[in-house]
Amino acid sequence: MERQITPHLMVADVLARWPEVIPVFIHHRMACVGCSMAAFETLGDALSIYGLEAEAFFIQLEKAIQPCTLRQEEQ
Amino acid sequence: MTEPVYDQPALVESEFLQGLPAQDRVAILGVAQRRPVERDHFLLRQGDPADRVYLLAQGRLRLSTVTTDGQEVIVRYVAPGEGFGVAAALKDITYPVSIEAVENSLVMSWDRATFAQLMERYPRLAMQAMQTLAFRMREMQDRVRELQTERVERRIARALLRLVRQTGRKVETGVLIDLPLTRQDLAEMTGTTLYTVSRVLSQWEQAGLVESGRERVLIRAPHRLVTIAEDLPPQPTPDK
Repeated sequence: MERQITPHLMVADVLARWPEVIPVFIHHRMACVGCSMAAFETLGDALSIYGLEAEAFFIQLEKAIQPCTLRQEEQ
Repeated sequence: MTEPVYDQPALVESEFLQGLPAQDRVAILGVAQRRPVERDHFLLRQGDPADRVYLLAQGRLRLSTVTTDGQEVIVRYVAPGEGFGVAAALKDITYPVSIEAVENSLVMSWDRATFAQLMERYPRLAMQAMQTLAFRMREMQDRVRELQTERVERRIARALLRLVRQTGRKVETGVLIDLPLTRQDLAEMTGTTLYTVSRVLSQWEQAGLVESGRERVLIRAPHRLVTIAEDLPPQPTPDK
């Protein structure tokens, strides 16, 4: 399946669209949740600011989203 | 017929009208008084009797008050879609602030009796007005705490973040605060002096954090400003 979350998305859009990824941000001690600047920085910006490795981070985001998607499909 | 102004996003998504069905929104706006206010003109002055509730449709307003020792203090800026004057009008007091347009603006307003009738007829409007008040109260509490406890760099950083939330615009080199903003304005927003604001902004400018020209502030390193505002550790540990 095509990856929906890309590094070009604004952090605020990602958090609004997939709120289930919020714990991932918090786990990495990222200040993005609730931040005024989240609307102006991309996911890619945030990763480089925090020195996080993109591939690993995206796997965690997808893991966080997946269970919810599955649950919806079961209904 | 629907007037075009009623459909503009600033009003549809406004603090008072968000989530209301279109016909209710049109009915509420239909009984509003519409008033253009030119840049540098006052909508009202501190001490005027408060008898109207306002919603900004276009432009930008500055709410300020003068202290007993004559210093002007900027309480906040109003962006399109924001309501103001709610508490004063409901309580039948005088306005605690003067309101001046910093850009050519269009203001919608209702007198107290009309707004009360509208709130009875459209409970959702009453809910929205309450949320507006709750949000303002929370902002005021935060600011009181800032002024009591926080160092001046942090207050200035937070003031800039508040402005970004309201009026920030992404540009090539960073985030631009899209409103005419002088260093004196920032001093008045943060309860400090022009000298201090200039010193802090110059430091930040040298460090590549901001760029400030006449009436213009560009934030070049958004995250570093957040770091100052929120007192975060400057260099987060990379997750390896």
